[in-house]
Amino acid sequence: MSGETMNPDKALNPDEAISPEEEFQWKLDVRIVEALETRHHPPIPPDFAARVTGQIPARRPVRLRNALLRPTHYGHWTMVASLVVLAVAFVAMAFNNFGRTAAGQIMEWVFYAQLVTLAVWLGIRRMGVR
Amino acid sequence: MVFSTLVRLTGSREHVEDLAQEVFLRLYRALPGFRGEALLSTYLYRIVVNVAQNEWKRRKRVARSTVSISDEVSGWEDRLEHPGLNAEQQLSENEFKLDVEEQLQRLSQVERTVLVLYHQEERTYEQIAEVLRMPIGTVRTHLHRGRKKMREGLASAARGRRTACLVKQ
Repeated sequence: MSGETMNPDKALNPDEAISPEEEFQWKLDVRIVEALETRHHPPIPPDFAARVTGQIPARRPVRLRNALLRPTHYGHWTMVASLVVLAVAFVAMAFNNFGRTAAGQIMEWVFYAQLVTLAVWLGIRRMGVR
Repeated sequence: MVFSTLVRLTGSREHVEDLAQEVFLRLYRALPGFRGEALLSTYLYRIVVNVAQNEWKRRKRVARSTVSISDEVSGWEDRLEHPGLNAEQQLSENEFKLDVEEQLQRLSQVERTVLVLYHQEERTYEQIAEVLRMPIGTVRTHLHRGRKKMREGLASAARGRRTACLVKQ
């Protein structure tokens, strides 16, 4: 008898001569495959899902975390208010000739720098660039 | 799928609910880390195989004999009824299927797993290789060896029965 195994997934070729022993082995293989392919259907208890869910640890409440993380935009509005205040301050300085003294000029440049910085920062935020 | 595969791999309906519960709990815990590199079914099969392997190890430690998957409550044999067979043929067919289950439990863990995943679960070689994390060639080898061992075991069991019948006569 040959050492090769006949493939139980292929039908026997009627034109191919095989010994009774080989035919027996092939039929045995077919029966084995049939038995292995038979599915078991064990009964699943109706409360199985509830039982598994009951084993899952309870999650911590997230309401407080959600409140703390809710966006308020306070910083944004503070920046806008600061821009308005700076603009008003520039107009007031212009009417009062504030830039004539050295201290006045320094303050003007500081206000310019703050105005430009705020404007650029707000512009970047609006574009969504980080 | 989970229940039927566990029953086949462990050869027993004993504790299958506990094992299935363990499978789903492990899946739940592992889901946050699941990145979709494999199919979820592959992931699930892997967990089923691991849980079954742990059960085998536990049984080895306890050294209990496996309980037959044929029990009065399930009526497993009735569901396998062949409408075309008479009572004697049906009995013979049922006995053969029980022999197959017995031989399946005598195989090594890997061979049994490959046979169950290939035949019962109809997974491809590639899917089985992914579940068990081994090369496809190794999967084929285990499948071939498993079938060969089952064939030899069943053939010798059949010969033993024939001899016993002759002795009785």
